[in-house]
Amino acid sequence: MNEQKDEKWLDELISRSIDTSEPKFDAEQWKQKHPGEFQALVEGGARRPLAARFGVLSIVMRSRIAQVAAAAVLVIAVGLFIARLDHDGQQQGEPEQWAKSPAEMVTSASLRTAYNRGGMEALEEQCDRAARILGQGLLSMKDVVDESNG
Amino acid sequence: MSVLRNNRIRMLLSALLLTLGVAVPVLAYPQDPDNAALLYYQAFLSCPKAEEPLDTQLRDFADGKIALNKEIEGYVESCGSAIKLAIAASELRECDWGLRYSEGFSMILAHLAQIRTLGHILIADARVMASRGEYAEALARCVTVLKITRHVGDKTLISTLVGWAVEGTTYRCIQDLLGQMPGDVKALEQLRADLTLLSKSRASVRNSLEIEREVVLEQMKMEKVPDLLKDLDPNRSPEESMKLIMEYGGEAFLEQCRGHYSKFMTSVMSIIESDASYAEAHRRITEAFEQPGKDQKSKKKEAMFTASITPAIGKVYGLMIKATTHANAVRTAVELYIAKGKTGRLPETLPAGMPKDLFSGEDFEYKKTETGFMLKCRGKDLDKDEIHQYEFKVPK
Repeated sequence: MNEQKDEKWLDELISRSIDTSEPKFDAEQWKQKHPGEFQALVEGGARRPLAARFGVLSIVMRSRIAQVAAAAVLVIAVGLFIARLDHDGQQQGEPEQWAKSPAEMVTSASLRTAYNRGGMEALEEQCDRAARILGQGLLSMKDVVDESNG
Repeated sequence: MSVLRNNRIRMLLSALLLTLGVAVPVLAYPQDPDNAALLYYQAFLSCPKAEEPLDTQLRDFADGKIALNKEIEGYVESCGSAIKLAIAASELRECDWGLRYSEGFSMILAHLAQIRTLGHILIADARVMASRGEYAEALARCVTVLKITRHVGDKTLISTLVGWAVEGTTYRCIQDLLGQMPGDVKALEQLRADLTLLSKSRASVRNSLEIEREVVLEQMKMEKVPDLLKDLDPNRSPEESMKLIMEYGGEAFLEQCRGHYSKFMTSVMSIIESDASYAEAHRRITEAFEQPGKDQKSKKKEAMFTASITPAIGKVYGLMIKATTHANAVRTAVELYIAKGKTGRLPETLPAGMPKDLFSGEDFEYKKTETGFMLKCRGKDLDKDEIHQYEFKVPK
């Protein structure tokens, strides 16, 4: 096992318990603020012929301002990619995503995850949600008679 | 029949008949359970299911956020059997929930969800009684809930936290009741006696951490570690996890992990148990919790379990201090209400020997207000970066 793979696994494991994430680029906000630029970023490459793209590249290599602008576009693109990955990761971390049955909502692991995620408030909320699902309540005599009659 | 003339034999026969006379009715049916958990489980089953929006209303009413309405009153009344069972359970000494500690983090703690609901029902019942002017009974109901929180126990970290949460809701209800009730010194003195007794049996964080340590150490063995890893990382298959553990060195690696974790837990427990001030203990605990992360960064693989399991306990010390300080504030307030009941006015200063604000280790700062009085901590809650204060109203 190489060192890089070791670290990746440890990081994954630990990041489930601790919020180790760095401040992230808010791609959604940027997208809403700059719809034109976003559209250009998404569609730009696809619309231009190969020759034109090489033309742009040669301009970029020559102009200092264009180099900075290109770097900014690259950062934004990476930000978009990371934001997408992060979004997927958060969805997996939600306890209700992997709790396959109501009982799994109240395992020690699930309750700890809730507490780690949002402190006492999240723990209490998870308990209350579980109680709503798990609570069977009393059968009334009418229920029993109705069931017996099919 | 001459035998019956013998006094000794007559006495023996009388004793035998007397014993049978007393014993037979007792043996006629099995005794009630002496394990409170069995009664609580019956109480859970006896609670009628509250559909929405009633369920939310009940919780909000218990929290003092909304006023009483007919639906809530009717629902609480329909929980009479569950309330009776809960009261009987709260009076018992033993409470064994029958948890399967061998399951580690997969252990099911369904009772914690249900006990919160039962707590809300009992507190709602206390508020309903208060609305009828039955304050002594309402306070007694709150004391029942506090006794139940002792039964929730300190056998797992999560149950300790849930116990504190229910306790906090109960103390807020007591605060509200004290602010409404006329000066009933007898009821207040009963409350003082109950709260003093309960203060001697608070949940022990040390106990829950010790059991947590034993459970986790058991899980960090070759035969159980796949389950532990599955709980920590549900997306990875046990086979995959085992392969990785084997590549790290198998049992020898796990032994190193156990050593690292055990050492960490021992150091945390020794800080919690020490006589250090809150600020000092908080500083030392913060340092201790930074260590597993540092170890992991410096490629100490044996820190991996410690780093991934322990964040849940990072804030527990602060929560313990907060919960105990809230309880102490209410106990202090009860003394002030008793003084007001006896003399007709609030004292100018706090009486001597009051329970302390544990954030500072000193008496609460006492200040009269337009509506009653305020008890303010003198030390800051370093986790929340705020100074807690507790408001108490005095009925006019």
